[in-house]
Amino acid sequence: MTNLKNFIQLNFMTAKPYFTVKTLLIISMVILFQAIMTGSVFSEIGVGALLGTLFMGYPFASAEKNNLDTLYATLSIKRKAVVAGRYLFALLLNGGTILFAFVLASAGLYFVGAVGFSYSSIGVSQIEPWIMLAAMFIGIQAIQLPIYFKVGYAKAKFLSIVPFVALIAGYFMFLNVSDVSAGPIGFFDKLAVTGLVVPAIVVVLVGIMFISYGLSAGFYKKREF
Amino acid sequence: MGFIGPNGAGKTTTIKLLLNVIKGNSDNVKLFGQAGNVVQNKQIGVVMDIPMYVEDLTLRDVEKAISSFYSNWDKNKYTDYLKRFGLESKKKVKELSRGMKVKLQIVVALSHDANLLILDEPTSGLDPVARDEICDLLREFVSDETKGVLFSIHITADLDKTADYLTFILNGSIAFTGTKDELFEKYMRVTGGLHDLNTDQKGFVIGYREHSTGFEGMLETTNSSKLPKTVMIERITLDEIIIFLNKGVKLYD
Repeated sequence: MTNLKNFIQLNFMTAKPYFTVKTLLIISMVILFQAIMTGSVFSEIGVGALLGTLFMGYPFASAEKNNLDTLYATLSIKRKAVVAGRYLFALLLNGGTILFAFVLASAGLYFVGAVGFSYSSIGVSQIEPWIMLAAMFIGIQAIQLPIYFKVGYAKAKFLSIVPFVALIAGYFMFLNVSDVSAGPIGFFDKLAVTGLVVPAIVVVLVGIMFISYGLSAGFYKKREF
Repeated sequence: MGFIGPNGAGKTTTIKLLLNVIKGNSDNVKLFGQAGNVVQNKQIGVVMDIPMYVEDLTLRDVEKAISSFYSNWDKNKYTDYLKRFGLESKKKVKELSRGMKVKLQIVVALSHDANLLILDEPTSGLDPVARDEICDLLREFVSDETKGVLFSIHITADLDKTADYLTFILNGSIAFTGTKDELFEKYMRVTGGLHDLNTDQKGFVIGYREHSTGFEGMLETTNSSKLPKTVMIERITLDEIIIFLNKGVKLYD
């Protein structure tokens, strides 16, 4: 357990060089732009998850560039702990980026005075679309992680774009569906009435993550460096 | 112990097997007498050909990143060794020369009081001064009899300076293992005229090679009485042993 905690800390140290002032400025602009355009801090749930998805690959990139998989072996970090650590890192990263986006957007909206918003006036229905968007990005991460563990970052860079392309393709496919009451959108509409959208998303994501973790553990166990 | 052999013999592969970064075909890989798939990191220090630290981190950050994995990490030792080896803690890993990177990895090993240093080609690509410094470090390390070093190398001059024991591998098998003195007692250099040896006698010469004026090769000392007195038998160098063993594979039993 201590090793796992240390490993997560090591992942943050590993990714640290990527978090430059330039990166911080760019993501801050994206966050503020999104907040002002939508007038909602809750849209940052989706933005935060998107940023988490973009940054999640950093420890993989750094590990490959700097021979860190050998380091992990010399530090007695079990391969299962490496995989578990990367998943927990992704979880914490998503939490961190969502929180950062949320706080920055709140501050931005407050100072700009663009929108006078009140937390109490925002109902669950206004949050749901952003939670669904965040869930989609986390779902993409669940697909990307086993790819990184299977082939390494350099080879996975191209493959990891595939889920994004599939998402965009899926979006346009849904736009062309004449009867929106059918298919997934219709299903979520019906689910929304029951107020079970968020719990359903959580259950689905947890399931996907477990499958993803199992695949990653299997792939990484066989990797040689 | 110096771990020697030509390129592709399996030196790095063996080290990687010891560290469990690649999988072997059997469970016979043991470190400190223990089989298993997790290296006992407290006891070993590893110096790889390619450094294992994030290039953009400073040496101070390197300590922050890895010290928590060692229960016996000594912060003061790390700082002291950095100073002693002229490594500035504010410098980034990528700003270090190759020799300095090797030193950094040795500093890390010394800071958690490793009993065994495993080094993969620590002196390759270094200038003579840096090589000499690394060899001095290794000699100092093994001056404590409870500590040992296993290093793969192909620079025989460095091997002469630092290794008491040698293991020579060829195509993944051990061709010789023992003390350096045993190696030089075991093999001799043999030269002679083109017609000095008959076919049976040529069979005793490892790496037999003919040139315009005669032949040369290596002989196991125990076979010296089987050759005629006309041939010249003399002390052999480590380089020649490697070359001749490579030519005439004769595996250790």
